[in-house]
Amino acid sequence: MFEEKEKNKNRGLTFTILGIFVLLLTSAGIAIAVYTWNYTSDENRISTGDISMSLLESTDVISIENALPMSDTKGKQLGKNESFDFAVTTYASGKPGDINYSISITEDAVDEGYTKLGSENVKVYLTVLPEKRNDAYQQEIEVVAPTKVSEIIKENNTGNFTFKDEQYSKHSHTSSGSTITTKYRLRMWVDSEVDASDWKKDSDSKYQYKLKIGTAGSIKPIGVVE
Amino acid sequence: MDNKKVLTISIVAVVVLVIAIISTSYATFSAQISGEKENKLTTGYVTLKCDEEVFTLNDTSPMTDEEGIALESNEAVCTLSSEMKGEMTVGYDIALDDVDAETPDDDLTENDVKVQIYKITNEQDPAQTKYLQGTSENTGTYIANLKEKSGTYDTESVENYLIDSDKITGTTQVIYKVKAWVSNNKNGVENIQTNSVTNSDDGVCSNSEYNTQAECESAGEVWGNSQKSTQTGGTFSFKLKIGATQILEDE
Repeated sequence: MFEEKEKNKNRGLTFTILGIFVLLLTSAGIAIAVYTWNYTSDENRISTGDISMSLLESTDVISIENALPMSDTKGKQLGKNESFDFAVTTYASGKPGDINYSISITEDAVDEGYTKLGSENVKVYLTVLPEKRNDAYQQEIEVVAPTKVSEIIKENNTGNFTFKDEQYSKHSHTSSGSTITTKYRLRMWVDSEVDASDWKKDSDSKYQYKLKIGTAGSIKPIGVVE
Repeated sequence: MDNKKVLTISIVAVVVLVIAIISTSYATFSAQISGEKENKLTTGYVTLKCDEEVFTLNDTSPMTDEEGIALESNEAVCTLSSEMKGEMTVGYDIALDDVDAETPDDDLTENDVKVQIYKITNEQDPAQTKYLQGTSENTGTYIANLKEKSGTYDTESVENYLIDSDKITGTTQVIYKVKAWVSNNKNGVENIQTNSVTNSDDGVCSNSEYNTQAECESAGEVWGNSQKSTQTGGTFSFKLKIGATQILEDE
């Protein structure tokens, strides 16, 4: 009799504890569910357009035989067959703003049997050609005055000599899908200060200087908001 | 026998009488008293909202951190404000969402786009502006660096790209700003010459109107061989997301 009473008492206590536990869990569950908030914004978007740069080199290259020192005045007048034309074209699908580019000179290995003429003995002269032949202003525009190759700024680590000029090394793409071309003419000659007295007909040493043109571009960072 | 009947009836009568008397007595002593003090519970409310500003920046170009931070109109803003009647502490996680979801396969990815993230708790006091997730006044971080960062309070919906986790209580305001730009270290290069596919064409005029060398040169154009470098564009997008939940006192 006493044992049955004790058993009932324990059972009652167990149910009471379980009841309280379930009540607590339920309360907590309800409390967590009471306040939650989720939010997602509209879309932010950033895009880059297509950009390209081309270097067009004329099939007519400078090939001066029997070059002798000459004055800058004469060197600047070297004709089409003694100059090298090239064009830099940039294209942008969007409106990236300014594409800045540089034009560089890379010395090339001389032909077999020749000794390389020092870059301090060679002068170059760079002009921009008129946009169209029938333009009212037909004159070539000087970009780099007659300058010894050795005196042109040398790029770090590349071994190239680089022309730098603000006015003619920038294409401003302010409308979508624009193509901009600038045509250049390069002339080169032996500097008048070079002592050619050792250059004899029967000399064992024949001198030569060869160069190539290169270009590299980068974009002035602006964003166009539409 | 008669006496027994009489006795039985008498006992029953007495019992009925006693019961009747007792009932009457209870009726006499019953009472009802109503209290005068009113107890009530009126609910409060909690309102959280994000006033957003989104941006669309087209045809942008790779740039340095300094340039990207100086750029205008490349800033996503969420002015997170709370209004509470009653006491509650809410924990929230704010993160980027739907990162590059629209064009995941193009050339612009989370490895190319940088962000500067900061929050302003007091617009009158710039000293209280706090830069987040390793960014600073002058530097950003690649969005890819946020990918493994998950939320603290709403771990179910904020699983990655976390910007900040914090608590908010009462009526207050916090402004979150995310500036984004394309890094100039995109693909590890800085200019369009080296970051490009080069193709070469023979017999090209500097003016595409002319197709022969004779026409080209007589027009004063340049005829020759062309080398072309191209950098293709891409699109990157993201949203801001907030997950908030009440923090109970015993948590």
